[in-house]
Amino acid sequence: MSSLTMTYTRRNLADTIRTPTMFLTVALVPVGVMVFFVVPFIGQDAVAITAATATLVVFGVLMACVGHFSVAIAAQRESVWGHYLRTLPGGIAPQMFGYLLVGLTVVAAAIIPILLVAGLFTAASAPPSRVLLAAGALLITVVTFTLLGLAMGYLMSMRAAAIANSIGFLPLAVAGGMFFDKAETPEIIEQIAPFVPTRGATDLVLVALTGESVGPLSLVMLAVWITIFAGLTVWGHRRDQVRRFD
Amino acid sequence: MTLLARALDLTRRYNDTTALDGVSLDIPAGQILGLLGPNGAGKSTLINVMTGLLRPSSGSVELCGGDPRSESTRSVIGVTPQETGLPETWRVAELVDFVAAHFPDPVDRAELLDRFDLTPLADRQAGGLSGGQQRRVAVALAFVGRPRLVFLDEPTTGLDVDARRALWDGIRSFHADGGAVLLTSHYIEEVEALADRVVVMDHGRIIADGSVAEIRSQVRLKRVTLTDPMLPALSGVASIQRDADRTHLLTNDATALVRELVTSGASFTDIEIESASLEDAFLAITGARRTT
Repeated sequence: MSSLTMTYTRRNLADTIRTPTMFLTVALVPVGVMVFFVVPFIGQDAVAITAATATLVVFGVLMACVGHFSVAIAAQRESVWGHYLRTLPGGIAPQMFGYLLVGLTVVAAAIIPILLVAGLFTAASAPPSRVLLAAGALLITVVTFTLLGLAMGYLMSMRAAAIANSIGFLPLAVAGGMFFDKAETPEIIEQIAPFVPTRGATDLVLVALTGESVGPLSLVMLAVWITIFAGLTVWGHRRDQVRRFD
Repeated sequence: MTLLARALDLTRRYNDTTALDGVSLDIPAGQILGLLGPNGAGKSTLINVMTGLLRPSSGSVELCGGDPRSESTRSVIGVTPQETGLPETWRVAELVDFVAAHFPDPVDRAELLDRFDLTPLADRQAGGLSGGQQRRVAVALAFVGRPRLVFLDEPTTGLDVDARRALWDGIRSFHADGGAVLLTSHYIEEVEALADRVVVMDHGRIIADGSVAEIRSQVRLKRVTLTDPMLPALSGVASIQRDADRTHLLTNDATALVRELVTSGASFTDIEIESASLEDAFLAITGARRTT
């Protein structure tokens, strides 16, 4: 880990903490959903609540990473300071790793409350080795959604990114079949879900957590999405220019 | 002569506006080049293209022998953020350390802060500084990485006289150590004080290029100043400015103008004839282009 990466991580972390609006939103919304909409209904059904917790954790990661990075990057690109950063040597890698590490911190803030609620107030349970495996799977979802957030930040204006954030999460979650019971999932969702990155991410975490097998399609598509998001991020970074009229 | 920067036939279009129109410019090592031009002349676009922030529509830029967007190039140039765009919550010392982390051999923080008279501000957050103080911090950042070539876009806009002089000293000492500078400014006086060479741009083109003395003489302008004149219509006058009781006439041929004044029987006292300043030359060059 280069010292420049640590420099960016420290700076981004300090900025995130000094202006915590976004941070608090992504940290509190998923656990709020859990406490008010999930626990009262299936809190004592061990299998269902375990799966629901995993799904919510993935949803938390989605909100944290996409919400945080798309706006942060878009804002930076439109700022005078962001233009200045582009004239410094060092390249995109330290910035990206810095963002990723901060992403992990934001994610931790979003999912630790969920896990606490699940562990303390519900019947959800899983063996420790499985939880560890799921944490590894979660890292991959962090990478996926961070790359999605970065790509959005580089390809959208700040206004567009903010709008995409406020209307984008729910369709993405629903299309991925995140909030449906297996038995009650509509036909159309069942058809498209494997092609949506949220499904692949959820499946990956569920497989790691419960050991139940799922079809390979959604996981393969997840790998495809990761490649696409990474490509879009690099492309977006390269084509980025100052948007300022002289 | 080592060339630090070479722009070749740069053109940059925004939709249907042409901001740069076939600009070629070389900057040799150790030169302070002053870039002048009215608003919208293409100065900032030229700097953005040369520093790799904008891609040209056509033409090419070489900085220190490399692409302006490459890593090795960026570690030998220094750029200053335009306007006051520093992140508000960062402390001055943090800003300097942050920028220094990008360079292999940065200037010591205490030394840099001292050189730009910023030591007392080291622990202040950028958002709490006055506009002039922010400006000085921004300019200082351009020098953190021991660059060979520094781009300063309007470095002293909004500074009071003392701060401006202090900044000039900083730029001069960098120049004395062999550094090259591309400088734009609204203050022609600033370019006159600092620059070895002046390039005048208008409508995206370079319309004059030479030393301060050459630019002045290129327009063979004389400034004829009179007190309280009742002026008839005069034929050989490029421009007329009035302040208080003095009237300034710019002309290419002072002799003919004086003869015309005398024969027309105009009333005046206190006639004075002097060489035009760089500002007069600048106005004459850009003004003449606008009418054609």
